[in-house]
Amino acid sequence: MKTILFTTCLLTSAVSAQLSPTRIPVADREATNEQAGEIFKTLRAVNFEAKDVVFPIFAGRQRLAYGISIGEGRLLAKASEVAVNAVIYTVDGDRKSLGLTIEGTYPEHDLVVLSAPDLKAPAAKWADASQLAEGTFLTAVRPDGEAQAMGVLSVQERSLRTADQGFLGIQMDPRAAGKGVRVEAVVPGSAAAEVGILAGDLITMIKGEEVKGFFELSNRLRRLKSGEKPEIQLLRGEQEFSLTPTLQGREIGEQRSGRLDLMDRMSGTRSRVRGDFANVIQSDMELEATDSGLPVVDLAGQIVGMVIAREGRISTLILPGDDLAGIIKEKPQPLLQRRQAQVGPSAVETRRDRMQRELDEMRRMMQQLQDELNRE
Amino acid sequence: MKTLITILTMALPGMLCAVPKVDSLGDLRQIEAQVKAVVETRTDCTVSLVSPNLGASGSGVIVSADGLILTAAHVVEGSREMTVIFPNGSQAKARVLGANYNRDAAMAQLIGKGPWPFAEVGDSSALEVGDFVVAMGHPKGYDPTRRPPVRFGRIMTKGELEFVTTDCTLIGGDSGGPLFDLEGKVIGIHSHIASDRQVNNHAGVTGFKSSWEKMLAGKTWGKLGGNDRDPNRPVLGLLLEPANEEGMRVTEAREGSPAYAAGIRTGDLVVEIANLEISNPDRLSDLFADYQAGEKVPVIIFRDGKEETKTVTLGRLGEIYKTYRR
Repeated sequence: MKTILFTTCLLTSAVSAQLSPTRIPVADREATNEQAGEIFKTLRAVNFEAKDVVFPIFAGRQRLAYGISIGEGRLLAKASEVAVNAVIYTVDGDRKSLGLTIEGTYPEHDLVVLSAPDLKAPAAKWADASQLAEGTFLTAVRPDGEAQAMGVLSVQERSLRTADQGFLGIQMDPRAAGKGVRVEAVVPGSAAAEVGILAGDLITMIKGEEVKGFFELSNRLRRLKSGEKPEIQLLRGEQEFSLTPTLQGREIGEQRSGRLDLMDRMSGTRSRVRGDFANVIQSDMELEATDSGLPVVDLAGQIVGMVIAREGRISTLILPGDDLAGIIKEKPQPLLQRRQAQVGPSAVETRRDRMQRELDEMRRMMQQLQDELNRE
Repeated sequence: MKTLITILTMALPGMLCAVPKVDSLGDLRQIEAQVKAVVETRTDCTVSLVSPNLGASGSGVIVSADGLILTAAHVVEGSREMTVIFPNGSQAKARVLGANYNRDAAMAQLIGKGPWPFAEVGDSSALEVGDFVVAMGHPKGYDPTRRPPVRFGRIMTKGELEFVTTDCTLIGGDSGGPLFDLEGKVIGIHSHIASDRQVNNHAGVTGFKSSWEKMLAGKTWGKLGGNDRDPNRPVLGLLLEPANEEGMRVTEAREGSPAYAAGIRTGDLVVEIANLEISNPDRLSDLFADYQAGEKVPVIIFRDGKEETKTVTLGRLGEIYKTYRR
């Protein structure tokens, strides 16, 4: 498939300072803060159960993340945030410090099981998140029972792994629109090559449905999973026929745009590991990278998931409760094995990561200064 | 309390100064039910717009069964046609109509037989700080693995030219997408952001209404980010200063200016321009957001205690400068 860089539209105030205020007037800020206070107070009524299963995780005096109790003195946390070269501990309800040791990891999910045998806490009761409608109110609950953030379910459960998406292996013109889409080239070794699709063929239907352009065809394919065998109708010259390729997984990463990255960076901290999850729900809850591990609760007070990553300005990613219940039934892998295997991004912050993070921080401050300047 | 929320979101201007209150879980559940209903009924009309030649992608919302799309001016900039991608992955074409860059407002028309899914247009001038709103769009471009992500928030403040600011977080690709009230009516179109996550700005839909027919007819005018220094900005060509509660005094109307040509003279008291009362100098910046140079506007003045209506053909700022420099 032809990779084209789609730029996205949205102006930042640095570009359009005159359009409207970049700052909220004090009176409006106070009124909305008071309203938020009322809402958060109301949320205490649904947070009371979750608050007993969530614990902060510290290294020195710095809070790294939170962990959720899964019983027998064990906490489930985000591996890449807490597996650091330092002594980590939690503080229980009686303000007692308890040292934490790493029991094992679930590297595929960026999860770690921490152990503090003296920690007395009930195990979290995970609820099913797969049936929640978009727009459902969600709150991330702190140990003190307050909401760290409140938001909605923005996107239902889905895989963020492009390798899970179907890949046919054809190039086509993004401007193509009309009856069918012309194949411009075939990727060697791809599903398309295997069944003999040729450059010049016109793809007219997928699974019995007509395709009217590049986007429709591409969207249809990406919604299919790798391994699926869709029936594809083609026109080669005058000859009409159908083929059934076995789709491969997409290996092409998403194109990153510098402007989008800037918008994400200037809007708060982001988790180092924030992609490639096999199944997550997305929320607009405004959290920071150090808020991973918070339990996410709906208005019925059920724990529907755990915060697994702050992705960017508009997105917090949550591992669904039903998945977590299944994951922790399996025995976690010893940490050593994970280090050797080097599955996924490194759990420990490297010098380069740290420098990148500091650079991001500086860029954000510069952006803020620029905003200030534009206000003058 | 349930009824209070409904009353407050209907918002009668002038009567209200308090933000909507949430006192119980029942209130929250009520709002949640409304948000879910908005998502369920308004997802289909929240489309992604891609410029086939430039590759730029934004969002839009369909507001009529025959396929009228509202979007942001900077999304359609430089395009005569846009590819429309629906949340279900299907695609269609739309013809770009007009745009008012002063308000970052634009329209496009879907090509093809309807009826299309659509959302009703609401009223942004009635919005109050604290009103609950729902934002949708196609952030970072169309993504076939998900529907338009839902964002919930409140009106944080209101700006000039009918712009509204919410804490519904937006990012590139959302531009042109809809901001809904809890009844599912379109009240704004996503425009621009600041680094503060609580500052996401939307072009209020009432700003669209004031130049609806002109955009529909394919007219394009104005300048993004305000037209203060734009030489094409339409002007009357006179100098005003605040006089009293009634209006503003003409301190100078030079010969050769459009106002002078229409019979306005130094010393006249101007009370209404283009159907807007101008007792409040703050409103002057909004005056000609919907006009182009060359258009005629009525100006009501008082001279020697008598009301008179003059018709001024708007001039260009660049030319008036010359007149005043002489």
